[in-house]
Amino acid sequence: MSIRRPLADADRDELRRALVAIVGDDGVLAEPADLRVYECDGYTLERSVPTLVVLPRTTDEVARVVCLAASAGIAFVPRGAGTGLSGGCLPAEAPLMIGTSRMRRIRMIDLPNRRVVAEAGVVNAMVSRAVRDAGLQYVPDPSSQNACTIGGNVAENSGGPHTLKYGVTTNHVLGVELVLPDGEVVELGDAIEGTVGYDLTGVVCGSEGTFGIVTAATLRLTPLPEAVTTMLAVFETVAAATTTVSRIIAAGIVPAALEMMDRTIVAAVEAAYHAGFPTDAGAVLLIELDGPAAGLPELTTRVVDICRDADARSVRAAADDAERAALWKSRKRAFGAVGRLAPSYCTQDGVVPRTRLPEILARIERIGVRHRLRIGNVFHAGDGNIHPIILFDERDREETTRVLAAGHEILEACIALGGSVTGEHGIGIEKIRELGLSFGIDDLAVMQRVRAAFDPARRANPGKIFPTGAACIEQRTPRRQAAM
Amino acid sequence: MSIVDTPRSDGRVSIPEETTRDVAARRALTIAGVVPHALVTPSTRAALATCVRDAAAAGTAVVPLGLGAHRALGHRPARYDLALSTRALTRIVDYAPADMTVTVESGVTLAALQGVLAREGQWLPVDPPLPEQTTVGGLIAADLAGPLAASQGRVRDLVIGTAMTTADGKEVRAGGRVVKNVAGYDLMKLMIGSLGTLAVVTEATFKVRPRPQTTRLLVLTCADRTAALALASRLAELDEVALAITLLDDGDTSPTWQCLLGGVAADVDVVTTRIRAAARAASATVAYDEDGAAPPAAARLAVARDVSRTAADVVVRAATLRTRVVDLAVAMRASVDDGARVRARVDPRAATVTLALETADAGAAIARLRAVAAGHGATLVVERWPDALAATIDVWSPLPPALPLMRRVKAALDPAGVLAPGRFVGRI
Repeated sequence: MSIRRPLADADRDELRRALVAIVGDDGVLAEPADLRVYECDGYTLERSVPTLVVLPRTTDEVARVVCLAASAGIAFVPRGAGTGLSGGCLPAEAPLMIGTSRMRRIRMIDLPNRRVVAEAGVVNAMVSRAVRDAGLQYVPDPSSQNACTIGGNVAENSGGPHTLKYGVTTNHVLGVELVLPDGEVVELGDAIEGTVGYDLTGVVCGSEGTFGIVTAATLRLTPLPEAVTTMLAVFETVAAATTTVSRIIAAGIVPAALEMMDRTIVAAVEAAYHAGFPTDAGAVLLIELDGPAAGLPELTTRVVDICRDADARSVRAAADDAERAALWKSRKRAFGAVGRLAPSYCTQDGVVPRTRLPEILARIERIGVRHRLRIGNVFHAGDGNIHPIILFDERDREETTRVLAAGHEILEACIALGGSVTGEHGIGIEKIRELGLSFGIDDLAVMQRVRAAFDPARRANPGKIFPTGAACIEQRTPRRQAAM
Repeated sequence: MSIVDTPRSDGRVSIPEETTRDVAARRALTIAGVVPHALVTPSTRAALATCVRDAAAAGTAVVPLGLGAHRALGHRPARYDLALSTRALTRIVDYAPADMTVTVESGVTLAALQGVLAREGQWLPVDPPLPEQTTVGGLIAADLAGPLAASQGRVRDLVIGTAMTTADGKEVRAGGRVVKNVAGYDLMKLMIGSLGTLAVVTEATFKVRPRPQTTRLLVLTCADRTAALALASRLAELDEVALAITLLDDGDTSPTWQCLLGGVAADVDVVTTRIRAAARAASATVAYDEDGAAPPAAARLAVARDVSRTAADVVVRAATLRTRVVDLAVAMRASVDDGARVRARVDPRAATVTLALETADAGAAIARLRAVAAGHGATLVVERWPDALAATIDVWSPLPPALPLMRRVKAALDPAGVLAPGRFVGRI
């Protein structure tokens, strides 16, 4: 059995000394003020201060730290930038936190073979920045891309607005360097298509740190599209907007992104950023097409026609890069704008088949009415990945209880419509209970067996994803902040 | 050749009811000279689960198969008591064209699935040989993307959910039916390419795509091999409109590049012009330019004319980095002795070289090819080899450094080692 609770003072001091011997004095945090920074990630409703935080600089240091933890039987939790939204790096059941923030090297850029090897602590946006001059990009672009790290992206299998055409993180990770919970360093996958053996890279992606610590990843680079068109379509009703989404897909067009905001969110965004959104509209769609330049005008025309046929009030294309950037800024910062509408808000992350969007939105509305809550919607419509935002005042305990109930009911509705309880935020600690809506006992047992092949003692990020006796965490207050 | 033709009578082998011991049926599923003792074709998933559970409980070795079209891939099974075919599981479970997802049972053939999708103007963008004899389960188990993979992604990029029966006879699920989903581990990835060694896939959900509005096939004939390979890097740089780019070099006729294009007509025109310019610069002739009329399926035969389906003794596929693929192709070719008949296929974007050989000394040829591949940092899969080599051959090389971890994954899912024992990498 591994040690999962705070250590006794003597043990803590001994561990601290041993860690300092590995990473140096400046690589170990032990003061309460320093540790408090690490008490939660983007999911703030649960907090737990780690006993010690260690910040290795190299894979070898990570391996030695993990070895040390293994010999002492101490559980650990990996952490990147702490932008996760499901409490994946909450140290509730692991005294030792291993942060990757000092592992920020891009080890190799291989432009002819369209790949990079980035260490776990490299910030997502830095990868694309490093290769942009060569006309390449690392496609996955979660909204937190200026802060979140590659290691965290791999752990969560992060999404973002451009997954409709390009896929999520796992589709762009060729291989990983993984430190197993016994300290062994393994190389999984390869930079070539003919990887031999089981696709362990594929199952490590999205394993939320429960297989060990990813210390580096080989990432696929993709050529920048020759041309991009970004359009804003305004609709009188949410139904007209969702119909448009379905018709675009039915026409055989796969946009790079297809994002929707409803009236509540549009009003908040407009009040905050004055981007010229019509505040009386029922919904707006942000539609981005990319690809070879020659065919794009034709595709654009067809999308505009589809919007008009669905009674769009207006459709306009961004005239230049600045306008395009302004549209995306409004979309990506929608959550910040919501802060103006209510003292607190809570974001859900669920998925339905995209044809069921009208139905899930109607159900969300009914759930809101029943619980006397105001709910706004801003989401990846093309993927059917919804992000309902419930507005409330967390000082009102009774209202808060209704928010929690509504959130759970929304996820139940996603499952009832054939969807999932999380599209991109992960299970973490937040949705342990909801995982049971998607999977039965046998399904979860097989997943646990695979986990045991990597981490038989369950010392890597214990208490996450799976319901266990030790991890019976009840939500008390919904989270205040969220982003996508 | 060692033909095991009679059922063992040691009492250890448990053969379920819905089985056939018909010799012809069993021989049709011979793997590396070994004939299964029985063939079972469950008509329901519940029956399949029972069959696996009972077999595993009795220690009976079960090799899962579809129609067996790709069973040459992989080592000879250590034991081959029961061939378990999913071919009777042929239900289209759910197809929602507007969601661009389809859920099917694993015995549905790729050709049947493409037929269903085509009626809605969609396709699953994979193109392995023998689609009429390739089941969805086989597509997954043998990871058969074909020449479209470089532009459309591999099987791993298309599967979003599976149901599978584990060795304890329980059908479990991973993933789902929506295109974006991070609930639970991505066990689908473990199934892909695993040759049935971890579980029996019974159902799969795929992301599908709209068929290209226009397709076009260009065939470039090159003066010789050197001239052909000189075009590789130019063609590799083509954009997403270039669905498949393949060099075929069969030794008898001039090497040809086969370029399948698809997309909006204006984009296809642009890429056609680029290819024609590249061909001119390399003194290649445009032997064939079929515009628009043919949908991808019709163009497939020309593009994917599959060297591994020729009458070869040995078929190997090597994969390397893009920048090394031309050197690798040249070196592999040079390693083959003069007497051997050779057909080659090169994909400059997937960076793969496939060679099919008719040779008197297969063992020596494979050894030389393996050394060449290793020298170029390539992996090598021996996709076909004479049965006489079954005991000694290493189908995959080099073995992955994570092989011990892979053994632990196998032991976690199939602790008794009853699913396709010995078939996989490192004879897992």
